[in-house]
Amino acid sequence: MRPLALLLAAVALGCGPQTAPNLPPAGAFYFPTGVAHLDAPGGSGILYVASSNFDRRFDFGAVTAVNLSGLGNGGLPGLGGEVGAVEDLGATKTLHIQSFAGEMAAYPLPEGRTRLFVPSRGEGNLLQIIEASGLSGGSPALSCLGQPEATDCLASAISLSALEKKSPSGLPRAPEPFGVGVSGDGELFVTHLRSADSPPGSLKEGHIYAASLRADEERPVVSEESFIELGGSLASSVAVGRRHAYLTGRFIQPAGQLVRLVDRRSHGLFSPALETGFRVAEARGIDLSSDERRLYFAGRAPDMLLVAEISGPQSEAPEVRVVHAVPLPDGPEQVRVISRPGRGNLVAVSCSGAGLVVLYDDDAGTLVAQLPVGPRPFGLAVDRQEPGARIFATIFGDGRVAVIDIPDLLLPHRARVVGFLGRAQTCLVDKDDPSCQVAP
Amino acid sequence: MKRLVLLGLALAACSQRQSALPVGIPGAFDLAQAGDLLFVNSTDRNELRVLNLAQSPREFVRAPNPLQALSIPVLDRPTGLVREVRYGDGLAEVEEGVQAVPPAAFQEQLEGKKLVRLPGASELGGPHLYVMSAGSPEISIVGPGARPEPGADPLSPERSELKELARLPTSAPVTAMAARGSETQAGTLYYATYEPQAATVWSAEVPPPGELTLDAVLQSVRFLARFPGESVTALLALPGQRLVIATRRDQGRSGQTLLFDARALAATPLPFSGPVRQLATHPAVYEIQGDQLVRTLPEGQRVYGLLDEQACAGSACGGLLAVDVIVNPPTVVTDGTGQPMAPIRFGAAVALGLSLGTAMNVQLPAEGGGFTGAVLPLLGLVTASTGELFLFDARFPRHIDTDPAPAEVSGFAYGETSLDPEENDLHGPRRISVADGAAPDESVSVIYQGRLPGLVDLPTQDADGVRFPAPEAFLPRAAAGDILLVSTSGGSCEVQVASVETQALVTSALPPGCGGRVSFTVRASAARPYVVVGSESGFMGRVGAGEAFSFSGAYFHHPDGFDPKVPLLRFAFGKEDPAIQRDSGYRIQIDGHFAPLAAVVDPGLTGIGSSLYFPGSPVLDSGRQLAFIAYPSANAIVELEPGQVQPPVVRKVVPYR
Repeated sequence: MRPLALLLAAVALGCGPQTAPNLPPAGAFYFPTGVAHLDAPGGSGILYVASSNFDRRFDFGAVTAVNLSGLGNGGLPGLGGEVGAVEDLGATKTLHIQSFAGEMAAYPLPEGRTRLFVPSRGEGNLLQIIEASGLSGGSPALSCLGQPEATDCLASAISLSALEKKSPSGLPRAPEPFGVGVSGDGELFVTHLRSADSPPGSLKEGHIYAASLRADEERPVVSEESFIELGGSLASSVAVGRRHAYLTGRFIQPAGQLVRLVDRRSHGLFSPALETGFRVAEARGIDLSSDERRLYFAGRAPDMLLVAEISGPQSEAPEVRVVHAVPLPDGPEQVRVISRPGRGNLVAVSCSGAGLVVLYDDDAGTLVAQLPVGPRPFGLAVDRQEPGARIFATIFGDGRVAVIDIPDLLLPHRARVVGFLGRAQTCLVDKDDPSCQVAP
Repeated sequence: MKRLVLLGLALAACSQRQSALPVGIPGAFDLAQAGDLLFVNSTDRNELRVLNLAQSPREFVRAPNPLQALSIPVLDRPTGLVREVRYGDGLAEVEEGVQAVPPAAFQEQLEGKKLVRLPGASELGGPHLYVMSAGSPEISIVGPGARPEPGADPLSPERSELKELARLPTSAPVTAMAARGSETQAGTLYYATYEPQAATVWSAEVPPPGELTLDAVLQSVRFLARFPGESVTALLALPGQRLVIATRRDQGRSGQTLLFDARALAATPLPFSGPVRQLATHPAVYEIQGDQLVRTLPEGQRVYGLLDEQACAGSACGGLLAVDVIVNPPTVVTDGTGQPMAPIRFGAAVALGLSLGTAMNVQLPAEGGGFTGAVLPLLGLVTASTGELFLFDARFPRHIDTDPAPAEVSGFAYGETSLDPEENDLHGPRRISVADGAAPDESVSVIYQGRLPGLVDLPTQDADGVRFPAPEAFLPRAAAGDILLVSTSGGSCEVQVASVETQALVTSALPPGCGGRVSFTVRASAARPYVVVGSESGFMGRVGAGEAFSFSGAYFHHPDGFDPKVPLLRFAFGKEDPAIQRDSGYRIQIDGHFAPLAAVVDPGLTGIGSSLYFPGSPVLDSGRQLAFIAYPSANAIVELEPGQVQPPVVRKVVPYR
């Protein structure tokens, strides 16, 4: 048996014919996850969506930029207008990234450029950096960092496990990077979802880090000093304030932390021990109020939105205390704060299991809207359009992006789903599916 | 001691230790008991399940196809349940020699037992249950499909045709509900809707089953009250067409609680110390005093409120307070010491649910150690986000402290050197005394030239000149001669406080190194350079050499013999250590010897214990002497006996899921 097995392996590895890469579809999303919205002069802005290629149908994941004013239907209407199901996304720009993309963070640079950061959990444990430069001739201008002509951003990506072979310990490294957040002054934090064993492959130890790097450097780099050992449980998402980064913890029992703080001045760790006072099993998405005195994060098992008050957010050890919690629909994922000057914040939460995006009103202390969007919503991006806001929610299980309009932030209960962008991914893989037939 | 045993439901109850076949209750947050039925929401399945409490072993009520458990589909993602409540006669057994004082009355002898009729002692449900979903502008009305026979229990467990009778659309998302039943079986629903400009409270008359139509309910909807800029967090129906309305504004930092007359549309403020987010009341409470059976609390006399933890910062927020709403004006209830009760607090936990039960068995600390069984006329149960279940005395509201020892100073040190708190003749504090009930456990620091809490890292700018604006509330902590430590863009400088004004500290001319200032911190100096700060109490005061120190804050707990005039912490400060350095000082460790009657479910219980870490709503069932608690962490209901609960763990529970 052994000779035959060796022969087959040889065929598979080296002797097969060269085949063209199986590229993800342009102008569509496929198991979308991270999302960001950026303004563009005179239009509805540009939407950037990471496709995670979750079933590996294609060779790559993707980041697709969509000019929201150049959709096939003529562009998004004003806030509150009916969008409907827009399958033709118009002139899009797609770059290829590693599969299993996670969250997305955007950091503005001078001259109208913005950097997008997308970690992927596939091979190489990559952090992909993409430069967005608005529109060029009506199409989004998008390029891999340092490779303006390339469409494959894997080569220019930063590997968060590059140091694995540099020492016997294989440390530090961040296998399966997932969460990403950036401060207003450009410090980026990345979390990862698998602990780093040492030596690699031994399943021993199990180190957990946050990787920190400058988002505004010409060529951001990761070195040994970039890794901050967190200990405890895996970190999920991160919100970055002026002094501290706040990281949520996954599967915190019996010894993890619901929320950990990294002091950005010293990279020292601080735990407010919220898990001793509030015993949910783990935490997911997180966001800060603009004054950094209120922290909102999603708890799981049971599923709840937790509201914490922060005293002394700029001090070395802020006091963080859970002061309120409301039950959430099944499977809360991402959390986004929509500030309302002079009023309590609105908070949008994607609830994956329930297929909903919900709105929490901190003045009322309760949910004020539950919006069915489709199977497994994940990423959230907010486009402020005074006096309201438009929310884009990636629908992981459907392959589209839901558009939710809040015409007036003071009337959040009037929010509604106004449409969907993209083609359902079932129709990308099976064009004969009856649900994909266009009516005559 | 003569005892009172509530009967009625208890006669029908049998102890059982088998759980029903699993039905699955994902998202079980809330419970509502109506007679022998216990309703639970399944948020993730958009349905209610119903546990039959009359049956032994208990089972979920069966569907018309009896192979299946009944599912009552309701509005999407149900989060809150309320039932209709009214109060009727209870029945109790008393020992020979007890005289009933009206309104209690002897009723009959039954099998040699002496039975007493107790008006108002029993909570009776109406035929309807109401279900809301946070953020949804509708309410599900659930009940039996047909009108019950006269005299029959409208929610008999045998009635498997329980279903959603109607779905009431509302003008905006519903934030709170309450309901009142009546003998005619027509109910009154109260509900609050929220629009950011204002919250509105409405009522609707709900005809009995068989006559109920959505049109009839809609036509009866009546406006009751409007609260601009607020949302209603809780409603509570009291006897006599009265309603309690709790509101919140400014992210829970403020709000009001009102006693509202639904007929006259008139409101009276209730003196809760902060915004309230959950309300409860009680049936009539009867007690045996000497040889007399007397009613000590008519039904609905008191309103218990869970205070919003967002009202202020620190662990001194939140908790539970009770207000007597029969006296005029309404007042905070006095506890066993004759003083207005101290809020019953739950440490770092967020209180999740509250239930009250009359004549409940409980374990109290026994003289000489251990526990002994007793009956409390009114017992409270609060579920907490720490997983703890707190049982407290709701008649004379306070925690049941299971540690009989008084508070004491358990440690006293200067740096690394331990000192005698009483006889310390070295330097610093001596003759330290702490009052019982001052704090649960506390570490008190007495720091030389310490930072003054509230006056730390405050923003400043060169344009303010010699003035350093600071929060008005904290400025009285500073004094002339204190040190101002100024952080600048290039480093730091120090300058002395010349005077303290109402809105700012004022210095003399600033040295050149203070340019480009960014923030400042005030350190104590001059005659009182020691700052006294407690880990629980926060800033307690300042002291200097040769002075007596006394802190008279609010007591955490009122133990027997409590005297509000006794300061919480006292000591004499002797001479000063001439070698003392800034930020060094003394640490006083206080052991409060406070251990409230609270327990978590033993995580080692086979099969389910490890998932019973986060409770939801509780229900105390006086007739059965049981507690039922929703556990969303386990998607289950748990049954336990409060009369067997001893800290730190509950070892015996019956799960239903």
